[in-house]
Amino acid sequence: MRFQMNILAETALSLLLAGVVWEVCVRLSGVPSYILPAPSGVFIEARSVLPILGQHAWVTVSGTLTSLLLGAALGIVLGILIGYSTIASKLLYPLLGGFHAVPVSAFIPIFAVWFGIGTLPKVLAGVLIAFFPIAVNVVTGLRTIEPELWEMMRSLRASRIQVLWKVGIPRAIPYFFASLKIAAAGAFIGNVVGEMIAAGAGLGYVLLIATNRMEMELAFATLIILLLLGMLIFSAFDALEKWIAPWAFRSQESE
Amino acid sequence: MPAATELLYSARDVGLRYKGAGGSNVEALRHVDLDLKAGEFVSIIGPSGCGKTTLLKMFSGLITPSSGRFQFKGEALKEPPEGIGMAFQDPLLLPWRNVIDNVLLPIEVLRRPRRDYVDKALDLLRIVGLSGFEKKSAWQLSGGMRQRVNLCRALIADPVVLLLDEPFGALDAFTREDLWIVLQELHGRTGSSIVLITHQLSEAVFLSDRVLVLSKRPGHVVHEERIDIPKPRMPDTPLTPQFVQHVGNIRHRIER
Repeated sequence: MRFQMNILAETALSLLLAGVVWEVCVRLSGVPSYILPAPSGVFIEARSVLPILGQHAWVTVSGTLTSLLLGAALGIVLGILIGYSTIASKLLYPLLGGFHAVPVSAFIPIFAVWFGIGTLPKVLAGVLIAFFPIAVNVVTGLRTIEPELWEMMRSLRASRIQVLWKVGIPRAIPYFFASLKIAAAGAFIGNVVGEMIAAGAGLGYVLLIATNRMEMELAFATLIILLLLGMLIFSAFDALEKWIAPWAFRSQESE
Repeated sequence: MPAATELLYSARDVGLRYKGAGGSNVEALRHVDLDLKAGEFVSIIGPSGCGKTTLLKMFSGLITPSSGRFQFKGEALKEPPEGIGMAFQDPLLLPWRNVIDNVLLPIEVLRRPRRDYVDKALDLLRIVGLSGFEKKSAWQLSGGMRQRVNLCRALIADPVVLLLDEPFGALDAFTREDLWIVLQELHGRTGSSIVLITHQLSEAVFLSDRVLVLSKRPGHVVHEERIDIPKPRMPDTPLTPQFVQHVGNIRHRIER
């Protein structure tokens, strides 16, 4: 607990320091606020529109969690399929890589044509980014079962399903949770990008409108909220990982 | 306990070739002849890469010979038969399970009723000196303790034969010698046959009824040493002239 407090204090201190440097630079250089606003201006703007930003932030966060939920489900199913079946692996694995390599923003206009401007295109964009690390990690967890463990299970005449159920899936759980925080960040990115391209609400949408109107205080306020939300989401899933699969960490300590 | 004369395994002129890396033909075993009786403790010893582990996999039914006759209870093995227990140098405990759940894993795989084996698991854990540890997580144990749990897991389903591939290879000398006593005790109580692969001459002599020496690759049996020291053997048995004589005989036969 003391350790966490230290981290919080250090983070706050480094943010405060960055803010002070930023403020001083803007004041000394005389950059106009429509190019780079001072943090004091951003803070004042943020306070005046906070309730509205809060609503948009909720749109982004709820969309992110929906994307993550669907992406995790899809990632688990694909991961188990690919990790378990050689045929599925040959058919699906390269395709998976392809989907991941195409920038998600390329899919969003197509989703917008299919489903209209709104929630669905950005949630799907989040799903597209989020499922990939989960699928890949589940595959890794399943495929790195020690050969001797396989032999021991086979010498007990275990079926492949039994090996999957007793060894493979529990073994893949820490891999799944390790990828969940990466996937959560991906779902967040997908949602924000989706909101910038094909939505009428959310922090991405606010950011787009603010920059179109050259309201840089609002744009920076939004950006900072995005940053804080990103940190919050990542830390939350990082903590969840350590809570769910403690053996994955402690067994390393005892080696 | 089966009659001591019942023949469990017999190998006649067994050979094994397989395609190695880069398509080269590897001949791991050639002209292997051996027998294993029910309840016997046999060690297999030989230079590195002589095909000891390959031979053990053949005992387990995981691989089948390319030539010769290899039989388990009078029949050729095509897949792992019922009644095999295995343990390796790496204990390979499942870290998400506690000690007793690790021990009971084979029971679950064999779809036998778990409750029928809980007492047996506790009994095995007591014999190996782990009473009171049944609810501990695998990662809380030392290397020697993990290997004790591994032995219990290999024995829980009453195997006809226990196959051990250098189970004590990664342990320090004191722990290893403690585990010799434990394994001897387990062998005496369960009546399972045991095949032990080891690099350690004194380990082989201490535990075995017979020690088979394999040649360099392609491996075959070049020497059989019958160990007639009465059981149970004691911690100071390795100091007796008889023991030293056996170790000397085997050492003399190992090709380097």
